[in-house]
Amino acid sequence: MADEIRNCRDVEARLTPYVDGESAGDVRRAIDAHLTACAPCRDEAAAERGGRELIREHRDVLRAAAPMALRDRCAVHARPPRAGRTMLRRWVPLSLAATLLLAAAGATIFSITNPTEALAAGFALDHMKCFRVCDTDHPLDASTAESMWQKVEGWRIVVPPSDPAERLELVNVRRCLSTDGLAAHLLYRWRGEPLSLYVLPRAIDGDDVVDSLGHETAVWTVDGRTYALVTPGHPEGFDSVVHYVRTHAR
Amino acid sequence: MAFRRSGRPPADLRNPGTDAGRDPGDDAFVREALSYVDSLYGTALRLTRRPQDAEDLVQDTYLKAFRAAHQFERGTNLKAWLFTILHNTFRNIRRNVGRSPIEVDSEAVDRAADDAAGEHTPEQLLTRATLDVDLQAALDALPDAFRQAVWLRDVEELSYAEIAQVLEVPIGTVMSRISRGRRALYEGLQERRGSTARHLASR
Repeated sequence: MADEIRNCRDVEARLTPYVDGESAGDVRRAIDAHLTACAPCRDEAAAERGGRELIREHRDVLRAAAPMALRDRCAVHARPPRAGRTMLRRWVPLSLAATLLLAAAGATIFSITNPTEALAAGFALDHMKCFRVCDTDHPLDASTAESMWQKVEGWRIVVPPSDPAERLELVNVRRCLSTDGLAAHLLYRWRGEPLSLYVLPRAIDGDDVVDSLGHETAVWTVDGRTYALVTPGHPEGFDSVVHYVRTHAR
Repeated sequence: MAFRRSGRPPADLRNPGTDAGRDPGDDAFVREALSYVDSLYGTALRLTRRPQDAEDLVQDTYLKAFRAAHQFERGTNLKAWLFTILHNTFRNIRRNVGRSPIEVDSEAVDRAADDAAGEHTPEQLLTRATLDVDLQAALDALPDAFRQAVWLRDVEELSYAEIAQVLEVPIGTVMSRISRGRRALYEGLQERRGSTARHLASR
């Protein structure tokens, strides 16, 4: 190995393990000898060592402590689902395949044989996850949600507002991670039950209502955007809330 | 390096077996994984530069990790495995949404100044606070590829091979990025400190 160190380029290629003290003895000696004779390489080694030591000495300052609640929210994912576990386990391979295909790439979504079902499965899973880990206890104003989304994500959505007649209440907005951040996820309480609206800034063909993972999911496309409304079970009055959301969401 | 299969863990995630669940009795795995939450959050914050995005990224990393726990090979570095999932998830998000406008990580800079309060004399305090702020700024000024390599090596202390796995580049590239990143950081900081000293002297 030491025979391979003949010039500055050879030294530069081995400088990092040398500075880290991980070079073999003969390589270290060969580099030592080169640095004694070569001022430019000596300066490079000194600069690399300087940068290394600066960061290591200030590691504790550079590191950030995670917010206290984050660990708990992450720990939730290690626990088995609370309800409907038997039925859910049967569905896990399908739902994961669908979700992970979605996660693979936005473009992949559109090449799935039945994109609507894959999308519905991914959203149903995300809906379950988000209602377990997000704050859904406080009402949120639709215009506040719209401006938060615009400010943070840079594109505009029109959020259906809370509606007493439908007993629909907006409680949160976030980016949907099951589509790798492509979709907006609006969280509602509808007649006391969790209900999600997803807005995906892409068109997929086919309006449909799909039963996925025990969730009723309505999917529709308007003006280049795809919307999905998800709620557990098969509640009466779903058509009515779908109509309300379709009328208001953009 | 001994990840099972030659492929990367998150690639395995896209092709889960028939059971994607963790062994429910394996609390040690969960405990150890959760012990890295600060490391993952700190790294996520460097990547996303926004606290809310960093929290989302860390949560998604744990969600994927716990689902794919059976694919983790015992005896290998769990921290490096989690970092690989974190970086893959981040790359996917960035690929899909494009680079959204990034706010400056002012919280980290403020924190650096606050944390400097452990020193004794006002002079030491000022020197230390200035150095910390300059160091944060110099680190943030590095190109992403250099900063990620230096961070994983000097803050998180991963091996070259583990960093190669996380960043999906050859080991030679890892070393080159670390080397160039460290030197650029050192030289950038010298410049900053020179201008800070001139600024203070002129007051």
